[in-house]
Amino acid sequence: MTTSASHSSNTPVSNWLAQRILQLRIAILLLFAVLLAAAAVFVPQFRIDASADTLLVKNNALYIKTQQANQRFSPDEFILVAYKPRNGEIFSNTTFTDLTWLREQYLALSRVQSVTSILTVPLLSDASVLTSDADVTELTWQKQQFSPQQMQQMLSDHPIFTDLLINKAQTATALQIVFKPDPELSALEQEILAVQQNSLQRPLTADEEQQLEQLQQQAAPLRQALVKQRQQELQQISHINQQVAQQAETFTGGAYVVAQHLVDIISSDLTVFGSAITGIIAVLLLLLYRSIRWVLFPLLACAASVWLTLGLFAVLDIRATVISANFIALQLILTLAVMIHLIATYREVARNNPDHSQQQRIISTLQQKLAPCFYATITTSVGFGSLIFSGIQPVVAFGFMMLIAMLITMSVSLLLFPALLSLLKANTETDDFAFITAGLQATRRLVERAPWACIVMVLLLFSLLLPGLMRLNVENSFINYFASDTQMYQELRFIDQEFGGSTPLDIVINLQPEDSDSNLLLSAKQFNQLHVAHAAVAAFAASGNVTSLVNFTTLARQLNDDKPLTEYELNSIYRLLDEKVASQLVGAYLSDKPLQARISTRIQDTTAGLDREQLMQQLNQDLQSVGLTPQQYSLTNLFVLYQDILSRLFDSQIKTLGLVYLAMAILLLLIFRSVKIAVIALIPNVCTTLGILGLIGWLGIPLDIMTITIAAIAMGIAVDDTIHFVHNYLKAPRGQALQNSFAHTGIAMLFTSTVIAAGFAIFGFSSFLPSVYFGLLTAAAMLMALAADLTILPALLSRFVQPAASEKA
Amino acid sequence: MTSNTTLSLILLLLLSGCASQPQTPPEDTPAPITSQSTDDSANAELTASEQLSSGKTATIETSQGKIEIEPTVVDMAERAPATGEEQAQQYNDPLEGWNRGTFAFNHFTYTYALIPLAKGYEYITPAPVRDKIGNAFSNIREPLSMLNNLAAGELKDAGTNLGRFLINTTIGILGLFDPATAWFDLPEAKQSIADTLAGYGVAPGPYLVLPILGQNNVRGSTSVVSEYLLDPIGQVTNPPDTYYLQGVDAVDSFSDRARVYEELYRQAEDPYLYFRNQFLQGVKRDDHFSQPQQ
Repeated sequence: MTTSASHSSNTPVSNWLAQRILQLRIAILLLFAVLLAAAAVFVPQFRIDASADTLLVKNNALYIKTQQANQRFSPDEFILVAYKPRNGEIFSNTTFTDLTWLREQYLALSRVQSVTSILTVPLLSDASVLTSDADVTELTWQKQQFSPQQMQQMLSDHPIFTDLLINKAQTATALQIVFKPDPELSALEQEILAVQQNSLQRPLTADEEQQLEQLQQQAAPLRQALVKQRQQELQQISHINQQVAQQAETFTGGAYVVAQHLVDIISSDLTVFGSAITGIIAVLLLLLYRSIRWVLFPLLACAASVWLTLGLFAVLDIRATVISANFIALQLILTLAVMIHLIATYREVARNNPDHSQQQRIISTLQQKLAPCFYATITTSVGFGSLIFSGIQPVVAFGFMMLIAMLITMSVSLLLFPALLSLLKANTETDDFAFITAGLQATRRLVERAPWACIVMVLLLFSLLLPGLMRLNVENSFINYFASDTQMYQELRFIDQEFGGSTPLDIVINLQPEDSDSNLLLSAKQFNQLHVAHAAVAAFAASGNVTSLVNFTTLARQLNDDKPLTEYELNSIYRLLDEKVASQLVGAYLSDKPLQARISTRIQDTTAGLDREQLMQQLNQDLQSVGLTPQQYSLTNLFVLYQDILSRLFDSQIKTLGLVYLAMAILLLLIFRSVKIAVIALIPNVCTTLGILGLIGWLGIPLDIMTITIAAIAMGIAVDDTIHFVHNYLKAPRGQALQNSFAHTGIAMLFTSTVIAAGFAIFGFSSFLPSVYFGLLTAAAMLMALAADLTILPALLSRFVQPAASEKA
Repeated sequence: MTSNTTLSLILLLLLSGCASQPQTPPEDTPAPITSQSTDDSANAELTASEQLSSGKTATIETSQGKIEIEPTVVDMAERAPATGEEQAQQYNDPLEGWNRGTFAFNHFTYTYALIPLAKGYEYITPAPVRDKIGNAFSNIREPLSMLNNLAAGELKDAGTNLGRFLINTTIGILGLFDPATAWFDLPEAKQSIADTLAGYGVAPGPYLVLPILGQNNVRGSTSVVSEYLLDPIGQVTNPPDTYYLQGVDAVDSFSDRARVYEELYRQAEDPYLYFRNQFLQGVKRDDHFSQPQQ
């Protein structure tokens, strides 16, 4: 083999390593056999923590505050089932019969605590019942059998139940299914929060961290079980709903249904796409190499790396989350990419030296490919590693996972794979498809003949994508994670639009103690502070159902001949309710110590033109303009947590991308020891990453925690081909450098890019839109990178860099 | 009969005369009735929540435009525009000494006589019967409401009273049933002398606790006392039947409130203040919101 000046330091190392790997092949095989067996022990312990919570950043103040509010007001966990009669009449005896039947069925589910519908809520026609001794619970349809007309009259524009149990248009009614909390889990969560709260004031001590760790471990299985239980419940509920399908359409929705659907999709994606990608890879390998061994061995190696990774994750108790659930597919694809480069070289060696023994072939292959394969996996790891600095917890975790996975991929493809190959007989290798090689050579001739035109053309094409960067946006919601033609989306959208929105947003107001009256729980002044805030919140077009004490007093005013209550009357009513009823009615909206009131709303995610950042800004502004100081209120719950992540996406995208560019520049500099070459190698990859971001912008796809990883990952993977090409170019004999590189590396680049692109494109069939975008866009990035690596890269190299071999000559 | 009416008219005039004398800080007396308008300039200095608390419609300006808010909970305090401070003397109670004494006496009477009596009544009369008796007493009261509605110029309501009285007395069997509401869509249009007085702009006057009859203000007491004298039961029956029936009426309306009274008394820090404030705020609120809004 030709040694080059610039690689003189690498090649002897490569040679030495190649020899050692082959000598130690039995030991390597044994070692991996032991590791695989050990992994088998742990793999069953591997867990998918696919709750929607994993999409959130958990260790920040916002999350802790949300938890605090949740514990203080302990709002019920509920889902909504909307019932839309096909004949349009909700106030009819048929509807009432169905609602009664559905309610009974739901109540039979073990975790269901209560089911509320328009038939079970007390309906009042005047206020006298509020102060008299009458039993309010008697005033329901169930007890009184009101006529459909009476029901319609009492429920029209009801301050509490409109948007919750009946839509404004009165075309559908909803059943609210309330679930019992798990006392054990609640207790644990309370303990966890008690420790976490401290971090609001000071960093946690080592003891606390440890305690937290322990508590989390206790809570984890309970949470898992809850996710599973919810899954079953949703199935049962949907089964029950089918029984009334003749009379009515039903829609299931509400905050945790969205999350639960996410979990379902992701767990099914994990297995479906894991196996689909394996299948696609097998078919592609068979097509490309037309030989069983080149299907079997790469797949074996892929399986081994995934297996080892699963085992290691289980040992380290790293869990797959919504974001990182794709790691199996990713690892399969990336392991394969490395091996295709090895196989291409091996086949070429075999074709050129038909007499060599298998061992000699492998040594030659390794001598040529050990260094570039090593660098390539390093750069890919760096691509993923940059995610660790994204500042968004789920993405950080994903970065860590892929970093570990890549190290395993590297050792499997560079140690296990050659050791396995050495067991094979030295067959003669088929030729590569002539049309592929011909096509590649045609491209080469084009590049050689008109390098400048080529560079300008490609840069021009990419620059067309750049204006898309300006159009990038972060508008997104959980509902928009589902493709709009899916049943899930339709149901969620119906609930979102007709029954008061989806993503919960809470406004917790500290009522000023200086306004309080010792005779009263709540003074008029305190109450009205809440009232103006409530009005400000409800004014937003995107606010769905807005609920607070104000709904109750509005109802009271309606019933009281349109006269407001006095503060004493309000207090008297509260005192006269028995404690259980009081906590049921208003406990979720008023807490005694400290005196806080909660306004609860759900944001309608399908509101046209919703700008969430602006909504948050304006809401803060409005609350302050109606007299609350920033210390007096806090915004909590899912909407805020999610918005917090969205608001960091741009920042995070810029940070990770900048970091990736910097790390790659340093790596390329280390590998090629030339600023010029490093810059040239960087250019096609920068083009690709900016190009893909531009494409995202042009297509109007919102950035989310999955799509922001695309650019960094694409860079990490695409650089591999660049390194292989440049590496080959530098080693090739003078005059034939380009021809040699296209012939040797071009094939492998084409194959890897095709396999990776095809593998990622499979995700296009997911119903989880972030996965769809992630798959299709990464595939697009791979093809863009291939195009850049075969045009602009050789053109630049041929213009500015002489192969090292010629320098020496 | 004639002497009764004459006497009550004299009493009425006397008491309302007292009531309209501004004995206490002047801003307390005419204010709630005359300054109805939600005058923007007057409210300009008050925050929206203070305006609401005082029973005024508030307008807030947010990023989503102007929003008008109707108060749902009020304390009816007069607030100085400049400071937003609640003015002293929110509760007009110059007779506090007398009132506290009577309040204590009443509490004793309620606890050891009226409430046990009411509970006994409740015990021996099943709920449907109590309902019917309640209906009958409301029916007997219709002519009085009619007079008051006439006096207040509410001719339509007066007509309603007459219609209800005729229907319920005949078809409703002496008022035991209420077909006027159920079949003829004639809901109650109750009007007391206090309502009528309030309608004429008579100020409520100071807080006054009457023995047994309980809390009131001078205007309301006029009403209670004169209604007692004008009571239609007095016109159709002769003592001692009258006293007996009036007693049942009192017990009947009291049995509903016994639990409420006991519960609130138990929980209040200073029951006298609690009941007084609740009453006075309610009266102010009623005065304010029964007026036609401008």
